Amino acid sequence: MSSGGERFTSRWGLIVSVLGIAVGTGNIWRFPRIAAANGGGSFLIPWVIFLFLWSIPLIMAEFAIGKSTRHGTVGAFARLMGERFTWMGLFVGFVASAIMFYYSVVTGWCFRYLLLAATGQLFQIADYTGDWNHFTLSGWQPIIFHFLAISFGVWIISRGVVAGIERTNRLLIPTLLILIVVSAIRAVTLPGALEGLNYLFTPRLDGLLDYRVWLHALTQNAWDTGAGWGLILTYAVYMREREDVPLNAALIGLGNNSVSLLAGITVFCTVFALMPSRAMEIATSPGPANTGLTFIWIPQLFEQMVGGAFFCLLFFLALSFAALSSLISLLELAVRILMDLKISRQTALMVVYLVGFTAGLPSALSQDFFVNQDWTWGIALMISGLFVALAVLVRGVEDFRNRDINSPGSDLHIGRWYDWIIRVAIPVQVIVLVLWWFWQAMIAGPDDWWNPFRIESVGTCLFQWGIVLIVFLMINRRVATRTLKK
Amino acid sequence: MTPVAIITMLLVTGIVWGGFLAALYVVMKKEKRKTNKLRGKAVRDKLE
Repeated sequence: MSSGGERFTSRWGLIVSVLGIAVGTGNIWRFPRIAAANGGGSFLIPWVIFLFLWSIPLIMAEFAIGKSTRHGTVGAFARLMGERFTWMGLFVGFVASAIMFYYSVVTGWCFRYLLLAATGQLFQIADYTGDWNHFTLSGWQPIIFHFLAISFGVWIISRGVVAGIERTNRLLIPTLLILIVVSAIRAVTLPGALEGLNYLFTPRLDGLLDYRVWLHALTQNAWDTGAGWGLILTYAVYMREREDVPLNAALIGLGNNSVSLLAGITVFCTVFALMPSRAMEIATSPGPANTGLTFIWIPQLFEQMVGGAFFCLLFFLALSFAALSSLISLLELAVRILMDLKISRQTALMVVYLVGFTAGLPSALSQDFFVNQDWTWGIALMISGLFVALAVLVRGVEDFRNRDINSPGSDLHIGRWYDWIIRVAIPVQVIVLVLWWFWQAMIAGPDDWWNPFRIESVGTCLFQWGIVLIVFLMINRRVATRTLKK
Repeated sequence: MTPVAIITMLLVTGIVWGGFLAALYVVMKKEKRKTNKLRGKAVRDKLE
């Protein structure tokens, strides 16, 4: 298939597929925990503000870049900024691919708990923490589920954009929305659930004046909407010619945060209704590999509820759907880059399958390695967001807005405020966030923050980013020539 | 629930869910209009 080949069959096909990128495990297990740890209502206000200052502008940029260049991240950056900057597209693509390596492992974990819930074995577990440790330390079990997840993902995208990605998301995303709405209704109707809503929606002045709450809210938007990752750019390659950008981008950003809010309501109401005395401890628990309360507390909570087995199954089904829809977009991004390098789709799929499975093995076998990769490439995502904004700046933000965002077929007109966000707000947000996260790492490890072999340190980020950037600068010209060759 | 919590809930859900549903409504309306236009054209072509 050439870059001008397959297209989403309709606007709905595009919307559900891109919602599939945005809605992932971060909405369900990260948002409630971060909201709980940052004062509930105090967190929600900045979280809504950053949706408009970070997520939606970057989603618009990605849609417009993918649609106008019809190339994956590498070709798009080469076309938009010039061949000299191809390494930026390589970096954006590599960061998403590095996340794909361990995200397949995460999807495998979700599949495992879905299987346990479906077969009725989940509630037979006496010690959930012990079971989690036994599972992750067994070695072979996480590998099998990682293999299943990546195989399933590759099989879906091997069917193509329409028959694979679009058709799968048309099934997954509406079902996921129904599951999460049903779960939220059940949670809100539990006796004592109002206490959870009260905490989630009560802002405190000291929380609102705390800069850390604002930075966590920005980080949550940067990580869970998929804005600036290069994934939406990749799907935009398959947009139809006369397709709207601004309204679709707003719909995706608001839709993603709607799911987060529903997940937050579900978790807060359930925790406060079923274990009020330990509610805050449970809700803020980072859990194993930062999975929050998902694998340890959720089964214990549902166990106490009437019809808990059914609702627990719904919860893990929704989680697995969210993980799978995001995994297929991560796989497609890597395949698209290889296709732009004039490699056939079938060969690209095999390469991504083999490399993805092999590179995910260390994360399946070691929690420390998993956390290190999540830390290193999670922060690199903010650099990816900066690169997307820089690409727009080099292209000329005003011209980009007039021609590529407010293009024929647009349902909304975007004004000059967008230029200000790309020129000032995005770069400032990235610089502040990266410096703050590094500062946090320096406080946590004042003696060895520079150590590249420490799990969460400044050194490990700079070391791994440095290696990747040096390699990409060395192959910059060769990749640019091959990608842009007719 | 406290009045402050109720006001914040209405504000946040109003922006996030209200915005999402409003955007969804506009997209549905536009797509319906497009479909009707195409259907009308198909009928006209058939009559001609």
